[in-house]
Amino acid sequence: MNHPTNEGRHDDDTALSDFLASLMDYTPTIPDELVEHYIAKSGFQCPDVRLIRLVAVATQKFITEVATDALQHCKARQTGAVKDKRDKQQKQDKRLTLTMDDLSKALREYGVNMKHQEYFADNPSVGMESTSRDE
Amino acid sequence: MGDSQIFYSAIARIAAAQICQSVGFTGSQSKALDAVANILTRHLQTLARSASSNANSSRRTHSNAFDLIHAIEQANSIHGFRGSSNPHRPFSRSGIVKDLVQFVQSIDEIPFAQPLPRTKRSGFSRRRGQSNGDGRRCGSHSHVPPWAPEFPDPSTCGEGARRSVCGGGDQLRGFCVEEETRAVDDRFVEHRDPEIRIDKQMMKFLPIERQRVRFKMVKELSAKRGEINTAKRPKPQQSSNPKQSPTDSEECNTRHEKHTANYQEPITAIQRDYLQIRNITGDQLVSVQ
Repeated sequence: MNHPTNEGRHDDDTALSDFLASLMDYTPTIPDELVEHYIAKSGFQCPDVRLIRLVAVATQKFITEVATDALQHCKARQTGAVKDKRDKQQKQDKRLTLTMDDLSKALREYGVNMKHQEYFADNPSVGMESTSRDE
Repeated sequence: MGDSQIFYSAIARIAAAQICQSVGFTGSQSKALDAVANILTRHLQTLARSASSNANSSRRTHSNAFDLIHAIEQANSIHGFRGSSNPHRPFSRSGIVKDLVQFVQSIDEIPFAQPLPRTKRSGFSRRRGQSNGDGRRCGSHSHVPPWAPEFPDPSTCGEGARRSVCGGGDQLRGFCVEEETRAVDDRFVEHRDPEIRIDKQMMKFLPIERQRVRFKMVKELSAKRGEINTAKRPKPQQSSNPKQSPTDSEECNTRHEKHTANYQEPITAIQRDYLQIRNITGDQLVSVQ
């Protein structure tokens, strides 16, 4: 088993403190006020702004990874659709739209089982017409 | 769902949309965006709850960086991270921290477009007596220690839940009374003096809880406020209404004086801090403390 030396441990502590200090100058996409609201609801108490930023960065990283996986699923689905050679729908599907199917597939890898309610309509053509109109 | 919940859900939705756009998406379904925003808020709360639990298990109420790193490791344990196989790893050498460092260095900084009001510092609801950000509680929940988590939003309590709370005993009676008062007239909020009701629109300009400061009028007010100052002015002995007795007149004056003094507090705070209206010449407000 590798036991880190005191010098290496000191370097790691310095790196961690430097990273936390760099968060003071970093503005996450998730605003601090939003993070403060939700962590206060959970009983988290810490006046340090750096830890609030750390929570925001960790959450942003998680959402970014989920969104990246969903994007890969979306691109893979579009690639499969191109092979079908539907020229008319090819232009429409080139838009990278986040859908529930791609999102649920991406979230399944992270232990989140998301199921959305089925869409009910009189007949299948009703849903297709509304979708084509939106696009 | 309370107003604050709707507001913060909308903010989370915008933040999720910004993240999705930075990844490369050009559009999104509305339901998918709602789901991402919901997962974002749940992830925030999961991290905070886990870090708080770690701190409490160490007999602390305030969390530190190591509690938070441990919470992030627990949240990422499903997917795995570097160094997770070593149970003796120090937190400073955690692979999660290295991944976060790389993530911060790799992505572009996309701050939120608009500044947000920091309502956490001023408390979630002043009139419901819940905690403010400094750990102090006011109102009917002042007996709850500051390290305890927040009460749920009273608007989420159904009719059955409210009835069960009311039947719990005298300790929670204030909670129910507030709810009933709010249901009667939602536009106004309670004041210390039951005769005075403050408009909600005025409360919106007071996001910060301030100490109670009473003011005494030293000089005469201007002509515009002459009617308020008449209450402070010593009245002559003879009453304007001959039918009214002198004792009734004095009692009326003191009541009016008290009413006016109480009503000056929110107006003065708004003028000083937000609207920043200059002091009216001829007025001097002296703190009595």
